[in-house]
Amino acid sequence: MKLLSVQKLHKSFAGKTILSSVSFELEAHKTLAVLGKSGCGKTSLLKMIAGLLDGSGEIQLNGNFVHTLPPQQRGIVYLYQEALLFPHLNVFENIAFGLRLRKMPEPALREKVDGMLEDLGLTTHARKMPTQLSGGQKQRVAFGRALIIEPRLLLLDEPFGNLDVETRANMQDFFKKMAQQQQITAMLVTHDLKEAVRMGDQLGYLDAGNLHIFDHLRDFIADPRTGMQAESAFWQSIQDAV
Amino acid sequence: MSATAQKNTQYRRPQGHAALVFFLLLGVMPLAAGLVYAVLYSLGLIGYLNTGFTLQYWYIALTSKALWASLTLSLGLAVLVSTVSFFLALRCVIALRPHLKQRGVRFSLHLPLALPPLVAAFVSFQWLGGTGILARGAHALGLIQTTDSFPVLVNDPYYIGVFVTLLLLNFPFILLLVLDQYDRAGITEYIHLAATLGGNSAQIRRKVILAILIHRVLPTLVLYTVFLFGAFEVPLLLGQQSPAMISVLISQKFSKFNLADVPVAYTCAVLYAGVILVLIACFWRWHFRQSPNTEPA
Repeated sequence: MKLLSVQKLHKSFAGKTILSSVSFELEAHKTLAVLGKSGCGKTSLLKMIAGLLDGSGEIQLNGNFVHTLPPQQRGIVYLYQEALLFPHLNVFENIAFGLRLRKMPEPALREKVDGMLEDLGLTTHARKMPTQLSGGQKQRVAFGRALIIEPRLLLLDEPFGNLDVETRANMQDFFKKMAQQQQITAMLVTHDLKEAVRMGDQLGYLDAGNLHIFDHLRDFIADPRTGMQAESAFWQSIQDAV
Repeated sequence: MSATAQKNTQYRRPQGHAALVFFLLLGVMPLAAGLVYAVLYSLGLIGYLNTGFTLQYWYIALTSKALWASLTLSLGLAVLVSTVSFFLALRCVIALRPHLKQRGVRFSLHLPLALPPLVAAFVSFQWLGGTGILARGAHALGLIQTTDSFPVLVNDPYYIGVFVTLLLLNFPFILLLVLDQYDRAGITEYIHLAATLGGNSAQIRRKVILAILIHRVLPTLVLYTVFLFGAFEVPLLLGQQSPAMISVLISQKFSKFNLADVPVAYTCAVLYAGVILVLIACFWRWHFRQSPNTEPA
């Protein structure tokens, strides 16, 4: 079932085209990973879908047009590269933030947040402040804060870009597990080839404002722009040399 | 640890100790010595007219209604000026941030910082006094019959003139602080995040902008409140003789002809220092409990 449909999304700034008639669709409970170099319009694409950036084009969620709605009413959560935990709130309150905005009754809120803390493996850290957490823990809290409000779509803007290699791999596994467990529909943009392949059920490549969605992984591999062939050739040459 | 790092640490340590000794000698010792001198004076242990240990000056000070009125007035006014400055600054930053970041506007915000408090007090006197510019303007416009009918805004019982002047001196500093912290904290990203999490404008203002900024500027704001607590020139010129702000009251006691008042003045000064130290200690204790491992803004 199709959840997101984007038609002819266009954005230009100071005479320069950032996104040029971008159209694509995303199935429910799937993750679309969009690969692209820095400055290719990845962030603009996500921000337009979230309603944080103006532009032209149409966006449908579950068949309803949402491009005229403010971000608050779209049911789409946008996650930055930084965890952006509220510095004045502890882990519990950071996760509860969206529920408090919805004025959820306290007992139900506590039950839901406690459940999320358990899923995140952060129960023992509930009273800690953001400054007392590691980079990976902060990202988990950021995920929990987004997932607890049950968004229709999750947008991830290079969410693991600031993490070290090991934590990054752990977080990718964690996200895959959570996405499966909670039936999340997500769109992720990254400049990391491995991350895109690992995380995406569907793959896309954004170049100079044009988005190309690949039907199969083999098409993605065959396209020289993605850098997949060069990467394989590099590792092959290393192996041959050894 | 690598050999280079060890070498660097070895070089840094003596410098660190020297800096600490330098700070203690020039920064802490004179103030501590002054405080010890004041304590000894207040207990009758030193001073021309003192004859030995006594608690009578402490008894006089602690039972003095004027002193408690003075402390309450000073603390209340300092908190009020800081609070109003902060909320005004916050409002301005939310509404006018792009304009405030323009170079010319930003530079002009620094100008009041170059104004000595005494000069600011004289300027306020010229504007707010009974025969001042506002009174004469109101008279010229026919709003009042005589300049005497103009409301009393200087040396008034409600300290309006002092409040306005301290606010004018304080506000640009707080505005620059809030403006700087707004950018440093990445408030724009937090606003976007909160919007996608479902927050409306009022919730974002209260739960994101206000909450994050107050968390960041509170330590500086508290220190500035302490500074205002001891304001002298402005209340001396624009305030009342009784109740007077604490610095003015202490100054009155020091400069009286009655030398017997000098130990009481020292006692008031010790009490003033004590109140400030207790307030600062309570604040930092609370602040570190709220935000462990954080540096003040």
